[in-house]
Amino acid sequence: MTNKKVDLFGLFYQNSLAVEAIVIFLIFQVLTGGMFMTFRNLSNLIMQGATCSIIAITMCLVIITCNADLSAGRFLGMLGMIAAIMQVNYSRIPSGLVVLMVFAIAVSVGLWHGFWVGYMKLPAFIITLATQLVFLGVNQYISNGRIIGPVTGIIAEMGNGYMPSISGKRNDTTLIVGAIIIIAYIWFEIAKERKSIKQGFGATSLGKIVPKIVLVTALAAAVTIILYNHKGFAYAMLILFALTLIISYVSKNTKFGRYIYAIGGNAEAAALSGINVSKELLKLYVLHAFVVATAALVFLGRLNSATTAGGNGYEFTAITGCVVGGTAITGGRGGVVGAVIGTMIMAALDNGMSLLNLNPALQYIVRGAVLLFAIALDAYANKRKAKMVHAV
Amino acid sequence: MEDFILQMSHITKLFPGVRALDNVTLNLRRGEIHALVGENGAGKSTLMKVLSGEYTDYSGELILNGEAARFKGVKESEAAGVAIIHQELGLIQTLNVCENIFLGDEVCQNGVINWDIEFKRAKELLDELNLKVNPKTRVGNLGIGQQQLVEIAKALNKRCNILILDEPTASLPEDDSENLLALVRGLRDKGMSIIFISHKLGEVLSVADTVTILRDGETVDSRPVKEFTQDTLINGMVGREIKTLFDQRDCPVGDVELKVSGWSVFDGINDKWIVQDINIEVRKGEVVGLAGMIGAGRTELGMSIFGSFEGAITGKLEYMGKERPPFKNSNEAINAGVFYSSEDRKRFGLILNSDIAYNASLSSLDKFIAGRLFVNKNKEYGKVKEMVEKLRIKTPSILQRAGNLSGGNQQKICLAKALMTEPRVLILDEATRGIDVGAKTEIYRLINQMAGQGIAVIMISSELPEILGMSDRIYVMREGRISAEFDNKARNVTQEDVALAATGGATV
Repeated sequence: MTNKKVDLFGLFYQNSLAVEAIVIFLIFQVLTGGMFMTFRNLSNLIMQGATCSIIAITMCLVIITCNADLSAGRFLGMLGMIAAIMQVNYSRIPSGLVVLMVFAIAVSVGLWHGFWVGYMKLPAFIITLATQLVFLGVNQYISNGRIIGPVTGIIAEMGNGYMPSISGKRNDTTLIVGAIIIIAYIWFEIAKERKSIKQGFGATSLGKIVPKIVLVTALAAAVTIILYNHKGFAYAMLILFALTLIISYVSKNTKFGRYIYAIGGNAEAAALSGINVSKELLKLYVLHAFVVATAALVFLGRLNSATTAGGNGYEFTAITGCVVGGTAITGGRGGVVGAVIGTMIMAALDNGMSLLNLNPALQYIVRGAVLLFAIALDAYANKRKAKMVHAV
Repeated sequence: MEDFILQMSHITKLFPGVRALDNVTLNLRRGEIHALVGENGAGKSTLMKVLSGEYTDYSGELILNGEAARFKGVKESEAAGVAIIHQELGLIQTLNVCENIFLGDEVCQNGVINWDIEFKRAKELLDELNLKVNPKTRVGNLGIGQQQLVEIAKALNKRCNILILDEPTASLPEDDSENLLALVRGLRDKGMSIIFISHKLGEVLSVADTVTILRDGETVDSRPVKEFTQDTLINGMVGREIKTLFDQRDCPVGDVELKVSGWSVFDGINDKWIVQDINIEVRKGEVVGLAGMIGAGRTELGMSIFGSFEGAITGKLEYMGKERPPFKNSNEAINAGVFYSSEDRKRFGLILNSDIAYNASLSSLDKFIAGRLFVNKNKEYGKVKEMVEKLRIKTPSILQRAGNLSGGNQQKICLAKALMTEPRVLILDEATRGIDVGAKTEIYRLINQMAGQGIAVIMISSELPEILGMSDRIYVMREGRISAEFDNKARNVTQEDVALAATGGATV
């Protein structure tokens, strides 16, 4: 049995991220009568999506190890509240110190999660389900249900600050940064290709590499133009961008990163290869808590105040984003960049539904359905592969 | 004095209730291929786990390069130059070849992996093994033979001087096996000392320099390979004679109950045919033995007939004299009257934390439903009690936790569960694995009873005596195909006949 027909499903599955993005953008553009794709809204969308996208950076690594973190949203809310209270009630503490204290709390929570999941080998799902409730309780207890704000200093800048102009002209830094990113990217791709040839792996076919470079360049250019036309590059975006690059690099080029994938692929084989699975999981949860804390500061800075509802459901958006972005819920497969893009698509979905003033009840249903669809798609693709007879 | 790189003497390892290794001796010369043979459960893998440091609570002596050693984990044995390649591949399917080779031994500079060095070294290793794949290929996309070579590359990268291969060719097709054996010889010629575990005796005779035979946890023989023949090897491995375990069965054999023809199963995940072009049948009241080595595809054949194997199935199924599409899932098979009892009763056969009644009635709950909704426990418990008596399950109560019972009684619960579905065809996979002789005879008696009631039984087993003592006919599987069929009505087939067909010695 050979399969000579064009594998339509396979084609769709491989490019599902792009297909889903295009479908969502087109639908909202039409439904909102053109309100969706304006510079202003798209810039807002990126700002709104930044928080969850930052969470997704390490959430995807957690999922890759076959674990989960259901507490990320409430954890973010609690950290935001702690930072806000420190700033408002104890205004003598400099904002830099507040940031450091938030990170310290985050690291200890990461150690706590890592201890239970890594060393006690309990299911992460239950552990973080429990701590989620604790975080919500702490948040309500210390705030008494009040809204605390406004915030100042570094925290405000992290969430709401934009890069200053150099020459005094409007948003020139945005263009410069955008150009640098595009040039660096193209240079990086060429260097990678050269290296591959030097190592004797042969050249990647031009038909594969050129469309990729063109697509990424176009995307970067589009984002730069959007931001140029509305306020410019925010620090929040730079944080998202830098963290994505760094952690993506770490996940692919360090022992730690490789072990993460090995544990998710086959934990027993990983242990037999001499990997200390418990220790690597502990490290991952600490890193994850650190990244969530960063997201918490960005979130707090953007909203300017903390509430007890802060972060509600963010873990859901991040997890959905990871799955949409190609992270396998069964572990071992996926990547940081895909997860961030996937989460941005989820942010676009949220943004579009808000623009339409869709009934919140319906919004929940749509978001749940999207997660189900993404998982079902992955499961179906795997099942299909198991049943497919290849020419051997 | 001879140049031994490794001497293991008086090794004894106890498991609860079992002496897995009893005073075992193994002496490995420098630069030889030393084959370790024995039946399943003879203690080969246990001995290797002692050597690799996975088991630490053993008694006895281990002398490596003239010095006493006692490893407390894989890391330590690897550091001492011992590398083991397990029977189930220890590769991570989702990582690429290079990443797998260096897993646990990454080449790092300032915490960042140096891909240039890794790729270069990976390519060298792959060239050395004559494996032409790109180190960037995902391991999951490789064939099983290529994966085996990647495992060897991983071991070589650790600069080991003792290499343990646990059934390296068990799942390889013929030509891949030949390549691998040539490679193993090449490594020996370069000075590597190799322990080679294999069930394929032809292979052992052609590749090994020395053979050690283990039986029931004891060393029975260890001599140069020249002094062995296939027959003396089999005799050494099997040893005992147990014919009296099996009662005469004189129930009539009826019409064909289940028949598959041209039956093939493809595993798309691992990209290979597991079962190919099988034609077998089983009749009412007949016990058909399905023999073969581990990995020959017997379990997959059984599960695919039962509808519980994830893979593409081709072939024809005839059941109760009529052709029908293959069962889509286990539920459909059970409702039609076909039951498969798993080889791994602790993982797939029973829910150990639940009680006997729960386990026994699990597959036949439909029969005890009152008012379409609730389980009628009176009826359920009544039936379970009846089965417990009939199968002589020794337990104070049917509400005893299944996990608290002995292996033999657990196996009987599996049989009770099967019988309560009132099957017409029963596939028993390794029904007597890991239980004592007394319990085995009871199971045999029960199988005879079932056949007497007209149930068609397919008995998958790796234990030759029970295959020979129980079966009316015997199919032997090798590498996914039927390699021989024997009529055993008169119980006159010998272990040698079956072993030859299973290991590839015989031509059919």
